[in-house]
Amino acid sequence: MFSAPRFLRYLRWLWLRSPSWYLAAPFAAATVFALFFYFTIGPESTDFSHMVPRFNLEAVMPWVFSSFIFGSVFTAIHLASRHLANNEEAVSFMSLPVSTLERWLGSLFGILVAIPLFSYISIAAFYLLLGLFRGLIKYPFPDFGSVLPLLSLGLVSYYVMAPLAFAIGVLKPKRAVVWYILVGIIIMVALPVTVSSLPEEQVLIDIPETPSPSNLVGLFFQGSYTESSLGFALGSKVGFLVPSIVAALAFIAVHYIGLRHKQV
Amino acid sequence: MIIHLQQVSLRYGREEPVLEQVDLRMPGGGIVGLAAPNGVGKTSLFKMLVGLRYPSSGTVEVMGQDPTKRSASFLQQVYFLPAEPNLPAWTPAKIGRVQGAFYPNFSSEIYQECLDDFQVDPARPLGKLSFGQQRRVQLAFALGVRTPLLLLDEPTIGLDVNGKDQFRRSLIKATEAGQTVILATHLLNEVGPVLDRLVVLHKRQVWAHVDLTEASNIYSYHHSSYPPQAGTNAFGRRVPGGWHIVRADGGPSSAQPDLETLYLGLTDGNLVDPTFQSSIDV
Repeated sequence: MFSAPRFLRYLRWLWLRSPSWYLAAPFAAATVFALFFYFTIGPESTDFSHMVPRFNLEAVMPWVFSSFIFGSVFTAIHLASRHLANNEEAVSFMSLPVSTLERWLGSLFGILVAIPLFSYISIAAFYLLLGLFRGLIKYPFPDFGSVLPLLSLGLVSYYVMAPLAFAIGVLKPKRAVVWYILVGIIIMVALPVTVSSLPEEQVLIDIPETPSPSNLVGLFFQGSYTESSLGFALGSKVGFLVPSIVAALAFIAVHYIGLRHKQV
Repeated sequence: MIIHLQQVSLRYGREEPVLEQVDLRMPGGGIVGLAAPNGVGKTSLFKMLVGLRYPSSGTVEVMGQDPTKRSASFLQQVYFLPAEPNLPAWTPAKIGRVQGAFYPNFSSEIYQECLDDFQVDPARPLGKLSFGQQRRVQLAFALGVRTPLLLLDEPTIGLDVNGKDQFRRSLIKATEAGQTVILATHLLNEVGPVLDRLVVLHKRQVWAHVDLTEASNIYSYHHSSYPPQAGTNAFGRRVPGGWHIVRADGGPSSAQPDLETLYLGLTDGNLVDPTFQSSIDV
């Protein structure tokens, strides 16, 4: 049974027990990806709109996924080794008197809300520092808002991969790694195939000249975002959202089943 | 019955089973010792009782519930203290405040009292305490949660002589309210004075289940210069100056009872437990 006070207590427990670097680690890959992307295009460019014709979702998305698979695997392996594969940690985690539903919701809250939120904050701070540094050496540098679209690409990918990463932590590590590789391959193969079958106008979407933090909100209302940079990130409902949601639900199910049947 | 195992077997993968067709019915209340050779399944049995490991076959019932469901209400009634440190590296005070809040019967007074008895500074983070002191914090917390069933795996590891004595006293004090405590240990003589019953696991089975009050009417202990003769339903353990002998003759003892000698006699020495058939239905 679900109990709200106990669940809040559990969230607090998770928060207190999590190493602080969890907040930034899953998005380290996002930073690397965004910086690599930015510097590949050139430091003088602060206007991403000219890049639009060169973007090809089919070509870019597998690479985006590769970046985030790396980041997710890194986090998941650590989660598995520290919290669930480590016997004493696992005993502590699994014998805490909370229900399976609360354990599952708490984990999901951490992976889907808390980690991305604080990672974004850490990345913003990182960009602020980098901007300061580049300002000192007289190079133009885009403000944080202009790199948000790139990070949003990462966020979407992260949301697809995170439940899977957590499933790794819950299932037995060896079996989970097999699951991970298998499903990762399916996604990386299926997505480009799906996207390549779409009409070109659905794949190449204009990016506005002044992306703003409000784009993030669009992430949660994906259907209405078709003309923004996030529209680009999301592609189309058919090409990206459906497989993403199906994958996420499948992994959430794996995670839930895993927590219910996890043995220490 | 607080614990009821029926035909329980447990195996890890394709390996030989750790437990095979085990039956056990244990009444509530008291302090029970669980003794077994290394690798025979004490910790595995504990994990099955708390729902961390599922039996390969058979049924496990603890306080009338199926532990594998791991319901919150069940986990609030059982506390398992593993042999290794498992508490967060917080201060003992914070552990009591944050972790203790999950247990409805948690008594911060008993916890604090145990910390005081164990002479542990509640403001010092666990990571800065020695292993023995960390163990004391773990034990204090285990006694403070006041769950109806308390499973302690090797509780006296890392404790010095004073710590062991303090632990025994705290254990008696904390269990006066009717808790059932099961101690898995290799050091029977360290906890022997507080035990009410002894369960022996051997050859993948519950080999003996001895009520230690009744045992004084069944077993007698003697010191002798010679080992017991074969076929006399007695077992002798070599000690300095001769042999410490336990006999299943119901006669008067001429030496101090010794649980480790009894355990060895039951497992290695073919000493019979005449109460065993009935004791599983104690």
